[in-house]
Amino acid sequence: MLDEDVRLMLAFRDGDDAAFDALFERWASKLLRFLERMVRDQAVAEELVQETFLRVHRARARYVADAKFSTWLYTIASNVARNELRRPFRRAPHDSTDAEREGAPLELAAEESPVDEIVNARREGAQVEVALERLPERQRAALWLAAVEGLSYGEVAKALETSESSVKALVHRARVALAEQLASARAKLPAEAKPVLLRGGAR
Amino acid sequence: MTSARDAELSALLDGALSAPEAAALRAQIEADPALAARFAELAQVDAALRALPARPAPADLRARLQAKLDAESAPRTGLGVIRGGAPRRRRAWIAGISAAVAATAAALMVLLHAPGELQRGAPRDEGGLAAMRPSDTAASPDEVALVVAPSAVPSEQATPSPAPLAPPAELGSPDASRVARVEGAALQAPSPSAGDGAAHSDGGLLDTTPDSSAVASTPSPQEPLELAAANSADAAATQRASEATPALWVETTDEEAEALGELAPDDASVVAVLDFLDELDVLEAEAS
Repeated sequence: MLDEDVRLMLAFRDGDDAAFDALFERWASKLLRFLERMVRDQAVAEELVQETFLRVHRARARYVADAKFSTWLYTIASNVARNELRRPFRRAPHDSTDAEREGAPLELAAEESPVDEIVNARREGAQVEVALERLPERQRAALWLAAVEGLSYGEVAKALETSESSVKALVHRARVALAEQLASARAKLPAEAKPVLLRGGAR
Repeated sequence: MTSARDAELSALLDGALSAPEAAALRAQIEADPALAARFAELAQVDAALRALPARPAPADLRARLQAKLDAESAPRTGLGVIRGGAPRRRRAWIAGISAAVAATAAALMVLLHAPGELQRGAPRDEGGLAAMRPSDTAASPDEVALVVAPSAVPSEQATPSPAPLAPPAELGSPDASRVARVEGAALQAPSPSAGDGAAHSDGGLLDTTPDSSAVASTPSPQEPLELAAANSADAAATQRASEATPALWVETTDEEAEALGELAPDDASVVAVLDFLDELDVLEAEAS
């Protein structure tokens, strides 16, 4: 039995352009969310969503339903993001490479002071977002795909062109790093409240 | 708690354990408060990630995609449609390398030494990635030069190019001028009088250079590499090759790019070339 996405892709391959529209509707927002986490820039992420769908469009004739559509789509998106992140002289809000970031200690954008539960919850979201942004690229991708998008380790391995055991290690390291960030943020309760600075502001 | 056990907690969260493994670990979690606390800590990460607000895709995103799709299906010249974007450019270089390194080098030399042409032909042909970030392509000429002559480093370069590289006038053929115009569009090459030089403030080779002679004479780390590339091959032969096969400079043929591995990531040779290019990025960054 084919999942709905595979059915749509096969229909698109066979000439049904409306199926492409349907796939875009189903996946654009999720892809945007993933790519925003990867490249840390909304405008660039939007371009990369388009690039991903352009590649889907170009590849339609060769599409075979031998994997879940989502795995195939995230493979393309991961490659697109990888290329973007490795572009020389890439202009991005955070321009350090993963290699540079790998050894650096994680830090939060600001000290925080929980005023009440709601503020605290929002702050925790902001903290996890900042901490996520600071993870190395592959940890970030692996954790997002496994924990948020629900891909299996095997599917993540395919999307990131690595082994399942690597994915397991990547996801775990990423999760531990974020857990430590959340725990230390919760432990620290400074008196002075400062807004957590999120780049972009419009999130 | 061992780190191996710790990793199993992640695997449990991700549904990556077999049913018996998962059941056994759950039993241990119930029996061990420390393990349970750790599990809760890790699970909170997932909850926090999933709670991050999702921004819906902008309403015009589909229309913007359609514009690009329409551009792709537009009639192609010998060099294909104009489309920007660093990922494709890199793949295109791979095509050039695997097809004919020398010919590609010569074709690129033509481009490198025709910045005047680039600047005159600077209409904005498309609003894609390249147009969005004009500094993209400023980096590409020297990177290509590096690819062509990987063993050449500035200190080894003592002799000037024996033969003049293709002058801009040779860009008169339809295909060649098409290339120049494509690059001009992508570069958005600023003229000094436009007061818009900030677009190229990252020291790219083509940084606000008004004419081709200035490019050739500007002392820059990249220059010796270009010249070395020219020296390393029979300049006349490569020039002929480039005239015969201008389509080797392929911003354009997606089928080729995809055939090279965008959708076949297991191709070891493609991966090897990509890794090589990455190493060059590092060398380049260190040199500058």
